[in-house]
Amino acid sequence: MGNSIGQTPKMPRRGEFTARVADQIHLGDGNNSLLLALAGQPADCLAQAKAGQFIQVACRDLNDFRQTDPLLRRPFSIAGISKNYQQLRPHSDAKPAGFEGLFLEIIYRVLGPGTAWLSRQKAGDSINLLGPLGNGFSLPGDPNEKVILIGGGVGLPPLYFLADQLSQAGFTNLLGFAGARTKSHFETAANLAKLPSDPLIPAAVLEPFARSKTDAILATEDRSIGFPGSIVQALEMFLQKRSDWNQARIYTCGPKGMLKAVADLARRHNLAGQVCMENYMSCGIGLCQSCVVAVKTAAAEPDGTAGKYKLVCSNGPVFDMEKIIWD
Amino acid sequence: MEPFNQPDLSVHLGKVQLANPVLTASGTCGYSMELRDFVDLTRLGGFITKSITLEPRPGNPPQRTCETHSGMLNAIGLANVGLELFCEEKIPLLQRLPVPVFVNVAGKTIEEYVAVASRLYGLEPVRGLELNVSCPNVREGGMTFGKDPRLLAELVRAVRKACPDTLLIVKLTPNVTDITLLARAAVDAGADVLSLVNTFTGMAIDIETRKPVLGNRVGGLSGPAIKPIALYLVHQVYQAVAKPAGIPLIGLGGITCSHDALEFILAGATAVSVGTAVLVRPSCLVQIIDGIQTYLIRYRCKKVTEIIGSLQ
Repeated sequence: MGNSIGQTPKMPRRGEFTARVADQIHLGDGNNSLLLALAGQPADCLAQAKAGQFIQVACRDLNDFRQTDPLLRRPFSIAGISKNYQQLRPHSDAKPAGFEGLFLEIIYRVLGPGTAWLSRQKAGDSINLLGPLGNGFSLPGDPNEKVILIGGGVGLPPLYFLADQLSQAGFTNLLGFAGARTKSHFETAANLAKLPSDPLIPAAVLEPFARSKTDAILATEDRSIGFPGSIVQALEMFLQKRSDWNQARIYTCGPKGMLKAVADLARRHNLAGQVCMENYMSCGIGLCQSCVVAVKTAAAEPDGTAGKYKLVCSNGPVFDMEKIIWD
Repeated sequence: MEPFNQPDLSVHLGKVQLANPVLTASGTCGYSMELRDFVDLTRLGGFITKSITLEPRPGNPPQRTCETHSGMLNAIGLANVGLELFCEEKIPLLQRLPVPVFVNVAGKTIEEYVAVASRLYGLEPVRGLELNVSCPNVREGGMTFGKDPRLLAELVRAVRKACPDTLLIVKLTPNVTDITLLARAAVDAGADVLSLVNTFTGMAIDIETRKPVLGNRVGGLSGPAIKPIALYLVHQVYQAVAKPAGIPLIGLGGITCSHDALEFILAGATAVSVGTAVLVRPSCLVQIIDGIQTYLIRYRCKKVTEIIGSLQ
């Protein structure tokens, strides 16, 4: 890819890359996990990605000019990155042959023509992507700090990646809160046999958290498993019982209603945290100005962004929780 | 070296020479730095910025874009940093681009267009101004000028007077009954170049909520879906106005590959702008340049100018 003007950095911080599908597995409730393999410079570049960053995936063959649907790329949070296949696929017996370098996982729900196309891709197929994009989560300065990661549905993947990065940075007081519509969302990831009878007791039940030494509390809206109700209610009740977590740092990602509820809770409990926003996005790189979110700011910001709108794709997707204007 | 291995891709827009006919389209390529990790900007024929208005504009409420079949609706609302911040922060970055830079200008009144144009006039590295008289997404987005030949002529004359020797490009809207009337008005009033077309007004409805998908209710349609219509309008304007008047055209509307770009060039465009395709794959700009070169070699053309308007 092209170099920046006037200077030639040794390694670009992002770019357009071709990855290959290493494998793809069905999770529960219409969710898939796609494992991409990257080699060479693309691998070096994406190895620097931070949790909260995302990739823009072309859900068609860009080199066939007769194919123009779906026109736009689809954004996906990075769910995990590792040179070690087994870390991302602990239940697989062996690494699929022919893939070396870096593995990158995205988890998505089949919702429209783009994700339907993606779900049909097989091992060895090429995927064109832009990444890593946006700004990731900022880790707390002190590794002794308690950290709560609370997510809902397809908002969970960036938190799995964050748990991994926190764990690697030496954080040991990590606690995951995972909400879903129904039990089948956790079908493949959770060890439901290990669920404590009291749903508000954290346990190593959710594999993508457990691999990063992060115990979790589950909640389902249809009350089929874990805490009966919303994951934010679960956190609220947990904090009432466990005053030792009352200073925790909060990181969250999920549907907008959930994020707003987490932000409200954090404000009431005087907790600081960051939120990873989703939005309808066209380009993902700050060109189209589609993915605006209203933030508390005076006039134009020093970075030149006009008015109260910020771009989720390039000013975010991670924002300080208290900055977002939710209504 | 074979004589036909290095065809001359350069073209002239008035007195400004472009190394090749491929430009960015306003509103889809930011202020250039957004693209630098994804495409070699030094390869471009030229760079056209996002619209600049006198005051900063936050833009329309979301949802601002919506994918359609082979296309995209947008109602961004001319979100931009405003003239002062543009001059302070974006101009120094654009100075580092080794290709001609054209600034797209939008406004509510003739006075606003003139104020922005005058401030940019003669400023390095601005090599020309593109007047946006065709934004369908804000009431005061210039569309009034773009639809009324008399008002358009008045606007072009005023900017021409304020900036006597800048390259003046007028970007036309397709949302009119007869685009050649507007094209002629712009040329007679002093436009050096016409670019066409901007987006087609359209909409999408969420059948579950029975509300428009876009926060602005309506938006502009771009992308491959509009290409045949855009191409036809370029053909019309070339034959009726540009060719007789000797005015170069910048053709745009749904170009995603060199095949598309060549169609516009054969229809009479001296240069092409690429917009929506850049949102998907910025590197398509370079692929289009390379594809045009390959085509010229295949047909043993020494210069790209040989094929402009060469439609049989």
